[in-house]
Formats: sequence, C-alpha cells, structure tokens
Amino acid sequence: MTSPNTSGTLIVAERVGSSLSEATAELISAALSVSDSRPISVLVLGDGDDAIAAGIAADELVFVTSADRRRGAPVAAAAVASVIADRRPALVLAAHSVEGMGWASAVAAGAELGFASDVIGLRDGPEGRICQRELYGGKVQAEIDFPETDTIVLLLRRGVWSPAPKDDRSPTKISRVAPDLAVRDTTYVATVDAVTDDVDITKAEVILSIGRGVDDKEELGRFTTLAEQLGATLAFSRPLIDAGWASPSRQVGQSGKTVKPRVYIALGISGAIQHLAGMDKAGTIVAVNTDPDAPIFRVAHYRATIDLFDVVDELERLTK
Amino acid sequence: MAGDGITEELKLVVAVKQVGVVSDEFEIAADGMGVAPEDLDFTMNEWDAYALEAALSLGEEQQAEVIAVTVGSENTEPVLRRALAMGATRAVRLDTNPEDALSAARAIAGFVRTESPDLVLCGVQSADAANGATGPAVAELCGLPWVAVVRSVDPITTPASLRVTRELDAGVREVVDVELPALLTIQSGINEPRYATLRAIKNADREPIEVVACDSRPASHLRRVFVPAPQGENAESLGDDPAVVAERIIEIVRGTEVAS
Repeated sequence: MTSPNTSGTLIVAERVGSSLSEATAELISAALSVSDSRPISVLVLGDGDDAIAAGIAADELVFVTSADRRRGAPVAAAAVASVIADRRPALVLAAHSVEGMGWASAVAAGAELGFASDVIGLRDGPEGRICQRELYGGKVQAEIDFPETDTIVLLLRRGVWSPAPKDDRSPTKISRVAPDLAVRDTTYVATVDAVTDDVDITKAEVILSIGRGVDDKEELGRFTTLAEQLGATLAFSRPLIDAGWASPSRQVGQSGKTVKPRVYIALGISGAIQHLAGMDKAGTIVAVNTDPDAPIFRVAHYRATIDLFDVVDELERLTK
Repeated sequence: MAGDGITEELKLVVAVKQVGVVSDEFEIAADGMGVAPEDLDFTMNEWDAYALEAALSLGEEQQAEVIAVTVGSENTEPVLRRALAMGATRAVRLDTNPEDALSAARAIAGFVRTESPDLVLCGVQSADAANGATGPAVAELCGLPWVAVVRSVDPITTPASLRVTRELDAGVREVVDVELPALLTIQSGINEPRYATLRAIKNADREPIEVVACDSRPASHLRRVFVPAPQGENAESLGDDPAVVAERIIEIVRGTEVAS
C-alpha cells in the first residue's frame, strides 16, 4: 500500500564504461516484484548517449547532467535528492556497492526518508514494504519495515534478484535535468590501478585460499609449500591481506580479484559476502571451517567442519 | 579555533561502536527482537579501531584532541574505555539506544554540530549490522563533505584540505582531495590499530566519560529477527576423518574425483 503523496520507483544506476551496470536490471526486477512500483525511472548521474537506455525495461531514463561524478559522493547525493524532491517516488533503489553506499544514507538522512542497506529480500506487507537483511555475518536475519514513511531508499545486495530481461521497446522516454548542485564537494585527483606485483590469480586452475582460521603468520610457509605440492596458487581472504601476509594481488573478493578456477579450496575462510562475490563461480569449491554455519558453505560443493590444520597435516603427508 | 580552517590544535571526532559477537551456539531472545543477551560478547567494532588509529596517528603529527563518541546506554561504555586506553583524549556517550544506522547518525550529527571538529572519522561499517550507512548520513546532517571507504590518509599539510585515497572494487583506488572540515569513513587494513598497555587500560578506567542527552530518530522499524534456514545443505560432507578429507581434496585437485 503506497502513500497518496508519492508513487513509482526511482532506480539509481551505475555506469560501467558506456553502459549501465548489470545491477540495474536486477534492481528493475526487484521493483517489478512488488506492487504499485510503476512507473519505473532510471536515473543516470552525468550526461550520456541516449543509446545507454537500449534494452532497459523501465518507463523513463533521466540524465542528471549537472552531476559531475568527479565531484564525489556529496554531489551524487545532492543530485539524487533533487530528483526525489521533484518526482516524489515511493521507492528508491540502488545497488549496495561502493558507489551506492557513498550517497544513499546521506540522501535518506537529509530528507528524513526510510532507509535500509544490503537488503536481500523485499516484499509487500499489509502496511507497506518489508525488507530482509543479514546481521552478525549472516547468522541471523532481520525483517524490517517503514511505518508512516512516504519514500524509502533501499540498497539491494547484488546477485540476489535475477536481472529483468531486456526490453527493446523501453524506455519510452529519455529526459535530461540539470539541477543546481552547489554543495561542499570533493575533488577527484587520480585513479590508481590495482597492484599487480605478484602472480595473476585469475589465471590459476587450482586455488588454495586461506583466511582468518589460519591465525598465526608463522604458518604461512606451510601453506606456501602445500600450494606448490598441490600445484595450486595460494590466495587469501581480505583480513590476511589487510594484516600484510601477502600482496593485494593475491586477495580474493570484491575489493580484490574475482576468480573462477576449476578448483577452489577454502581453508579457515568464513565466507563474508564480499569474499563469496569473488569466488562463488568456481568450478568445484571445497570448504573447511569448524563453524558449521559459516556462510562459505552456502556456495561450497564439498564441506568439512573439522580443524583445517588436521587436514593440512594429512595433505602434507600425502603430497610429500 | 577548531573547524574554521585555521587550526593550532586539530580537533578530531571518532565514532566508535560496541558491536555484538554471536557465540557458536546461540538463541534468539524471547521477544524475537535480537539475539539472547547471554549469547553475545561485545567488542569495539574493528573498522572503528582502524578509524581511531587513523585519528591517533594524525594526532601524533601535530597537536590534536581526539574525541571518541559512541551512541548507546551505559553498557556501551567499555568501548569508550578502550578508546581512552588507546589514546583518545575525551570520551563521550550519547545517551540513547539507536534502532538503526540513521538513528545513530542523527545522534552523532547533533554532537558533531556542537563541537565543530576539523575531521570526523567513522568506520566503513559495523561488524554486526554491516549497514555501511552511518558515516555519510552524519556528514550530510552536518553539512560536511565526505569521502567513503578511505584506504589511506595523507598527513595534514595545509589547514584547509586533505588528500585521501579511497577504495573501489577490484583493487582499484582513487585519490581525492577534500576540504576541511570533512568526514571520512575508514576501510580496514589502512593501518595497524595500536594495543593499549595495561597501565593505559587501568588509567582509562578512572577517566571521566561525558554523558550527553541527544535526539535520534530511526529510518526503519525492526519487526523481528530470526535464524535463517540452513543453506549449506547442498554441499556434500567429506566427513570427520582428516585423512579421508585430505584424500578427497587431492582427488578433486587432480580431477579424479567421482561425484556421488
């Protein structure tokens, strides 16, 4: 049930080169899965080619041409806030990504809108939208709603909703708006490419990956040797890279590399969502973790909930 | 005077959260609104420890006041004691129970507006709720520019602006300049948070904690929490014998495994 004051859905898209990111179609799908979500408008920050709209299953595409992305998150927030104030959507959706996390909560706070992030479920309840999100690394889920709120801003987790199919008839309308975005901004200086001072783990056929379960850096040598013995490339989850165990080029995850090896062996990795995003398409995933509820097991093909060091002892014995 | 770009002493505010850690076996509380309190341990949010360390490091390069602030009831004071033990010069508890990230942000913003710091530092997200939302909301409510997911902070060489590096996906980074006063959300791995000495921990127990009343209003309403259906059921168990597990792994690596 939507408020009479607001209607429709605004989807804030992200650009990837000259197209919109894959998440855009997922967000459209999420919008279409709840009632009274149309019309669906897709907002693009900055100007662009009309062709960017090709195949997008929405009713309208809006370029906010005055939103200079080099001016950072404050300008993105001001741009989205301006369009919300103008068009009064009931639902505002974006991807829970570095970009979305930069502006969405600011927009919701500034305009006193409903807000939730990293949303993994969305449905209609008797009094409005109901969302689901995870707590405590996924061990628990929360159900939340937004009573007496006319507009809610939601960041949706990527890869949960299937992308809406391409629609060559849409969008029917392309608009350009140029609100005055005089805000205290930031200044883009430069882009620094990812570190490539070590092996390219995306080319590995077999990856042996270790995480926090390998508590002691003194053990690193054992895993280096074991990886060699197995003919595998050694990789790491983020916490070990943060702690300086290896070059960032060996990090698997959203802020590191996305890998699709034939075999991925995860030892002592709990499976934070950002890690899973970097390896869940691997051919065969074996996970060893003493926590039977570790999220890594959601994507694993084979599991063992015993001590990884007992397994390593045996692997060393068998590969001597 | 702090906050006007001409600072003799830097004023830094660091928002710290006491997060819950769920024990291996836990239950949902009877009211269905959280994990049973006896099944929770508490600790300083890891990202906030990085943020605090970043503030303390900036404070070593020049005179600085480092104010640790948390939002919560009295049982959240241990996180402030830890901040004091690490070297924060003031500790403030905003006396309300925040229902969500924006509720906490409103409380923090109210405090920041009264203090006019040069820089506000928050962790990117909390380990328990992982909203990743508090920082930018505080910045917006205070009219401050912000940079999120900061991976490094250059020393402050001019009173007016700061150069930081932020993290994008896939290891790509962006260098950004931001005018002070500003807010940064700090990403993990930026530094190595210092240990507090035993003496510092003891001294921290005796330092005052300012308790301040505040406004907060949530942007969402919790209906219930629950344990989701187990999702690891598709994985085939390799059993409990390490020798067998190791043999199966080797078969899989060699490509000689037989799917059952």
